Amino acid sequence: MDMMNDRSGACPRGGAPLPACGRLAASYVPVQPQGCRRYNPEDALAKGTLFPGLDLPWMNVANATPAGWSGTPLGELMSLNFVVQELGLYLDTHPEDREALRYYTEYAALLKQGEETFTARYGPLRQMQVTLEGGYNWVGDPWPWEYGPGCEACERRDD
Amino acid sequence: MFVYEKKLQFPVNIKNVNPRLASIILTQYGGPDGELGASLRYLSQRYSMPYPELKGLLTDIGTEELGHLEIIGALVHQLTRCLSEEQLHTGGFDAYFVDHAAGVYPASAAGVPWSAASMQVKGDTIADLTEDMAAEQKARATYDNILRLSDDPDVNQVIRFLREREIVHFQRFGEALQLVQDRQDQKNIYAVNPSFNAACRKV
Repeated sequence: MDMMNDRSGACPRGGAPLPACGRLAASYVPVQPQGCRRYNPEDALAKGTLFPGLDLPWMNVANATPAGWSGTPLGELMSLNFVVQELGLYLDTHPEDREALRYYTEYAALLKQGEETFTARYGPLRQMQVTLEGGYNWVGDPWPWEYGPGCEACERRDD
Repeated sequence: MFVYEKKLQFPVNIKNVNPRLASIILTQYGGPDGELGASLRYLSQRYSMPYPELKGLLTDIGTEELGHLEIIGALVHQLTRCLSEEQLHTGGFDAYFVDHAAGVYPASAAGVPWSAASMQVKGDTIADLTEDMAAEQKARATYDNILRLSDDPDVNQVIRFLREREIVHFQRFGEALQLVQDRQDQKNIYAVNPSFNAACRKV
């Protein structure tokens, strides 16, 4: 079977093809085939990877995000950001994968949109995003190592 | 250049302080297989990389590792917030506390300050990428060991995320090495070091 062209579902567990007659004294890691199944953004962040074929958790217990985290403004932003970041690494070694590139640009646009809504409500993520109306709130708490009580963006909104 | 983004890659919200656990996790901040070393290794190896995909990958993974350094810093910080007099005497933390109080200092769990001697920039494409793959495995194994020592679910979710990232990075470095070997002399991939011998030849 030509696994490189198997676009039916997940990357086959156990991997992708290696060269039939490999060089001696060389290391081989199978190259991830194109068209692998992907998790949705929320699951991807929870698992720590976008790709089920790479999801190899400790003791075979599924990874998770904290209870109540999904659906929070910061959670949604982190999930989108994670998809873009993970696809970026994939594309670094698969620059010819047009489908992944299309998906990348789609999610980069969603992230940009999400950031605009987020920063309007919770303040800037980058210093340059401060506005005259908002005042110089770049220095406002909480900083990222202070998530917890008082982090509005960490809590689900009722509206 | 680098621009700071005011958010973590993965949420860290620890409810129970635990200075003993903090002094163990600190090793991924400044220990031999930690995130600081990972980041500096990849960002420093970039300069001698001969192919565009490799420059991109080392930049992007090196940048992600800086984000992981921040996650570990957040963990250590939250595990040592508002310590009681009694907690200061916790075994493993008292020796740290006397020098750093509740500051986050890049050192290993045994208190050895971070050292560039724990990483290498060989300037040889195959050697560097092979080191990077080993580095990801060593970090993954360290996270395994942290999970064996920790019973705090808030902490473990974060550690499990970071551990999974090491596996993904191992895969990408492996693909990068594949790409390098495919571009070398197919009879002898060790004939030349493309990051040195080939760099000045393209006129």
